Amino acid sequence: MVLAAGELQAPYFTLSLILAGVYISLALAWDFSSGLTGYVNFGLPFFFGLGAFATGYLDYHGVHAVPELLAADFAVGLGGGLLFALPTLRLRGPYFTFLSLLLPLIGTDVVLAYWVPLGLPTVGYYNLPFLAPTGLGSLLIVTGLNGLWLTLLLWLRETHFGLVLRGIRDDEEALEAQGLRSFPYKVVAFALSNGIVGVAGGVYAMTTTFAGIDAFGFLFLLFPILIAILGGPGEIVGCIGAGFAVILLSQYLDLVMGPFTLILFSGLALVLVLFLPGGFRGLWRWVAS
Amino acid sequence: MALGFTLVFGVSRVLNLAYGALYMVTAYTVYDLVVERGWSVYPSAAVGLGVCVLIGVSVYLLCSRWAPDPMRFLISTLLIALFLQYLLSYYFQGEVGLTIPGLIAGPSVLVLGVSVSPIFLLAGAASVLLLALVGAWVEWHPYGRLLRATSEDPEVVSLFGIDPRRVSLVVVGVSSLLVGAAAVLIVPAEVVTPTMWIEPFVIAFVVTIVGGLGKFRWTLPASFLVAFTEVVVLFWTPYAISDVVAFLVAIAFILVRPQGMGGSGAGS
Repeated sequence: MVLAAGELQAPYFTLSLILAGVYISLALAWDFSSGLTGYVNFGLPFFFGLGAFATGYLDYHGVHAVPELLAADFAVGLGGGLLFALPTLRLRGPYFTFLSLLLPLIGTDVVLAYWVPLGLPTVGYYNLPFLAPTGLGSLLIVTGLNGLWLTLLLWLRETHFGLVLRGIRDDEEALEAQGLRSFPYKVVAFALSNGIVGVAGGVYAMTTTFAGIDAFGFLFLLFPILIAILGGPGEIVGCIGAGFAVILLSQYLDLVMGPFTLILFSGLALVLVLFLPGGFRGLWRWVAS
Repeated sequence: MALGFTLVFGVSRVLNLAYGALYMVTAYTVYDLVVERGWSVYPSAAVGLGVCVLIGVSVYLLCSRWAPDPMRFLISTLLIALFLQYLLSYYFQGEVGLTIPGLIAGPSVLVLGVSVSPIFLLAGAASVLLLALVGAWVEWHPYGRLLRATSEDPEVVSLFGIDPRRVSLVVVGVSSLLVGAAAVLIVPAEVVTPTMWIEPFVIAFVVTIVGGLGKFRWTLPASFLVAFTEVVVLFWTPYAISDVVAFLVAIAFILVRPQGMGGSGAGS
């Protein structure tokens, strides 16, 4: 969890805030698609890694401008999300969820399998450009991106599109009985959310200056889910506060407890899912009632 | 393992991601008892099976009671799998290349001109025996018929005064036993690692998709289809991309024949 940056651009606390911003992006994306529709997406690490490797690949081939890299990351995440969602969201049930769980494994396998034939020296891209010349600049960019995603997703949630997504979670069959096809809405929601995840991958790569197979790790699934649940599934805005709380706490505990932190956080996430499914908002409502 | 997964998924219709973690837990239990504590193999295997069934049933009871809706059930079982992975990784930290001894030892045997290790011989024979036993139970035993009825329509079963959750509980116990048996039989041919639970679980689910939901008879043909496809593809590509092959097989069946080889209405 501690950022393994090639060169530390900013003090540790600023880096932790940037990392929190990355996880908040992931949580926002996951909460929008999975939280609203009820279709659980475990493929976040794959699209995150895809964004990171897209950044590395383009930088390796001479594209160094940050806006272009981020735009490419969004396009790669969106396109990959579309490609995945089109065949897998045709069926209801856990098929989509299970196949999404396969994606991070596929990402790791493909990178490890084809790295050598590509003639590249290591499994990953090094010396990537920084997101901004200073740590504060990077933090501002991450904050700006999260502000953009939050505004967009909250607006979408309140439109007809968001209403349909919530209807899919509540009763998809009843929705379709009214003549509304849920499939296009699900596909668009997942493609958009994976575009956001792709950008988060690019931001992470340009913060650590490295894109490697660790970007496909399950940490980039565990923490966003924990943040989204803590903030309240489907609430979206709850991800902001929950994100800072979880990541800053995890960064501190990682220094103090080392690898035991992962056990603690996976256990905490489990307790939340089982006993506090509404997150802090649910707890507040329960206390208020 | 695929048979156990077909059983539990066919009856409960919920994806239990902690199922794969039971494979890992059994392997580590056997390793701990045999290598760390000096037990002999057979008692260690028995304890490993017991631990596997205990954890499998406990996970099911916990998640079905506190996370009854499918989304929370899915997430909670994944979190349990990750929790177990991190816990075992922490407990055995620094130890790499862990192996457990097989139930039988001896030199490789020539079968149709191919040298086969006794571990694989035993695993193959035991798998066929378990498939036959479970198949006979499901087909002819009254409780097996109840299991099939529950997988087809749990609401009708409940109208007869039978609690489908009790049937699910028995199935979870049996399927946990099967995954524990898979671990005891085949892990001696592998290395014990905290992430070893994912790939067998993936294959098991793909076999379930290929065979069809609740179509227990089609587990064996589906397993062969998936395994041979994987072997053929990996023979022609020099890289370890078995997850990609499994994914593509699953996608192909979802697109072309979503009800699986067994012809049931899998999904909608």
